[in-house]
Amino acid sequence: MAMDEHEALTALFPRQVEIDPLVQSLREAGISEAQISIMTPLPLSERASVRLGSMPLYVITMIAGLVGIAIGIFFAGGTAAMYPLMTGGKPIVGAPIVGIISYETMMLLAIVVTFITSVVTIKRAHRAITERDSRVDDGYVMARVSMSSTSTARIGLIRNLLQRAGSLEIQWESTQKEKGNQSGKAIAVVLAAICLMNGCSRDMQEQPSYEPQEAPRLHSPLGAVPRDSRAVITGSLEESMSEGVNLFRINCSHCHGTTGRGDGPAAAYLKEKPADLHKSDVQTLSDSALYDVLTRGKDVMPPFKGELSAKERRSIVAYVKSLPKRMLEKHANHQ
Amino acid sequence: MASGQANWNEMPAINRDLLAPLQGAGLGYFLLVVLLAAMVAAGAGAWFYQIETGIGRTNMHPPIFWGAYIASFVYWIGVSHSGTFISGVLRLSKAQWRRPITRIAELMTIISVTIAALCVFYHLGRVWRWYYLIPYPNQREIWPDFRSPLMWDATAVFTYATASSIYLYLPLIPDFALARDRIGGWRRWCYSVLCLGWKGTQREWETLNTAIRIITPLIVMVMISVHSIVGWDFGMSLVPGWHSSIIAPYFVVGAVHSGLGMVMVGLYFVRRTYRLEPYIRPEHFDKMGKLLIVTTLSLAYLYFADQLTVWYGNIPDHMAILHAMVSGLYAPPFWTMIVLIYLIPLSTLTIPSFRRWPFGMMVVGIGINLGMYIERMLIIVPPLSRPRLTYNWSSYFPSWGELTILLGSLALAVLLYVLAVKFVPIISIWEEKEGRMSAGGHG
Repeated sequence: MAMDEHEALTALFPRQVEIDPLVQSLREAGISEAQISIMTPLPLSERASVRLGSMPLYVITMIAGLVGIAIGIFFAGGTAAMYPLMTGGKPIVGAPIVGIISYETMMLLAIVVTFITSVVTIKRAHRAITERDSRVDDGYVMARVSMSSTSTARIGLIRNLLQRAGSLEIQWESTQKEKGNQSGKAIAVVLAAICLMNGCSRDMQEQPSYEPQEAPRLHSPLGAVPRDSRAVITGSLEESMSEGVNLFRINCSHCHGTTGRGDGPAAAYLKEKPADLHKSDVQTLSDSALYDVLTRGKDVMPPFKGELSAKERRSIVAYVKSLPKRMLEKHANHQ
Repeated sequence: MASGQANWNEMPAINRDLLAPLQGAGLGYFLLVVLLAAMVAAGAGAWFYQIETGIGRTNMHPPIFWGAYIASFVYWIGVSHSGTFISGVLRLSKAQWRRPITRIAELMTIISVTIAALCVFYHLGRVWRWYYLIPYPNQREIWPDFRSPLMWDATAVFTYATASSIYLYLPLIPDFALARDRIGGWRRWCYSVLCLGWKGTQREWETLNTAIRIITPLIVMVMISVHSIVGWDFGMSLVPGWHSSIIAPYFVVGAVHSGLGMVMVGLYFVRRTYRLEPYIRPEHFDKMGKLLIVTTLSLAYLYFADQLTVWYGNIPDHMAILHAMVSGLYAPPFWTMIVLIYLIPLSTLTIPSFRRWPFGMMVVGIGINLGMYIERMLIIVPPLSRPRLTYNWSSYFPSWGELTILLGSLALAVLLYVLAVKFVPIISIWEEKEGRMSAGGHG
């Protein structure tokens, strides 16, 4: 093949060279198209149908895409096959999901393989060429004719042809083998070492965890931080109202509603409707009677004795008693 | 070729102009790099502190289990759509005016995908166990759950990051070859490795063109799938405010919207700093502005369609969120967002002379990005803070640690860009030449 030949004539042409007649005349002199390389600062044609052997590049893309689909099905579908149990009436991995994963792996493989193939093709395309005049990027055109016979007569003939086409410089070139690049290997070794280093920590064994048969925690642990503020509640009496607001929302609002109207999201599912805490039959109860309801429960309402401390229960009572007043204030603010 | 003569003679000037940004750097450049590096260091320190002391250092708490990190992830993935959209879609439609913009946008893509991936790691508790996420037959028999949209997301983002790196790199090969011959120092070695020994023979050009032509439609399809899947991270859950069939296209259009805004900012600063006015002309801003009008209107339409069904349906759980945004706790950010991403772009970009004013376009671009960031936060926080059971309704604002990390990553994005400008020709040189050639040849 012409690729393997190590001797060539290179010629640099000015910008106004006519390339087609030049190639034509070289061919008439018995030079095959594969022996001629025209180097330009930009593609001369918009042709984009490169082939590898007899196969167009897009066929390779499509094959890679099919392999990608297979990989997607292997992972997502394989997971479904490995864990066949149904959860919530649905298979553990549904067909649409296999589709989504396969779509992504198809694209990944298609793009990466196309890329690698093109890189290899580009590298192969100039395997024999060692020199390129940097003036090519300034708009010059460089032609390289690799020679199968090195007889001086033949070289002279080609040299003449190139000169007649308007070449500025003609050089005789002998190719040497390029040295292989080791940097890729070094990078791979470093990456592998970094990945291996991840295996060193053993802290999963030292974490605090539940013991077998240990009772579930009902209270927040001592010193726990409340959910909607970063400050630790100090528990002074002045602040018991704001504590009551929070505790009411956490413990009461799903039935009694955030405003205490008895319209919480869980109310619809209860056979006895939760009380509207704004109504007089609740508001006329004394603090201690409300406290009692909270402590022992009433009808479907559970007792909170075990859930909340006495102080916490009192703060909720104070909040419930303040509901009508808050409502009035809210109305006043709106007007 | 004879008719394109003048254009061939312009090539030395084009090379000189477009390689100039790679050479030399003033005091201002170094100060900027130092400033950005300091911000990155602060962010890294905050992240290290968070790793040391635990994910509880963030302000995330039940029920708000996603916060600013995830909002930033969505935002940065969105910004990353700039490059693919501009260079992919415009390459497909053979729009000639894309040529000076593609590289600027593609660089943004790859940098913002990197930052987006970082945001996921910020959000991970026990981040040093990140490799549990990879499906491989391990001793612990831990296997990722493919039902989870997060798993789809990981697959898609990985595909997108790989594909967009390839997409940035392929058209760079001839430019690296050019830079190898003209730039000395340590970079010469990098360029000679990266340019794959490019010689510029017709077979190489044809291979490159074929590869670009095959990969371009593929990457556009990946781009659309990526932000759809990010949308499905939300849409697949039954959370009111998220569970919407329109969320995927809404996310994609929103991503392109913020991406275009960001490209505008990049274009302005690159053009101004490196005096590229002959290459990046007002008509490029004009064309970008027209694209932005399209995205503004599409986004407004999708958002309205989404919220209209919520409002008309009047389901209490959904209305709680709508009320919280329109007139409740989140009203100030909500209306700021409406102004920044819809009203300002619409009222300015529809004026032709405004579109040709680079500074104004840059300001609008910044506004759009601020607005889109608020929008990402509004997608995450209000629905999470108003779950169906009322007992732990609450709200969220990022902690100092979170803000430091996120500002640090913004600085990292800018820093990477500023450094990349010194390494990568910021305008695709051969494509610019090709554009001028064909313009001269046919016109």
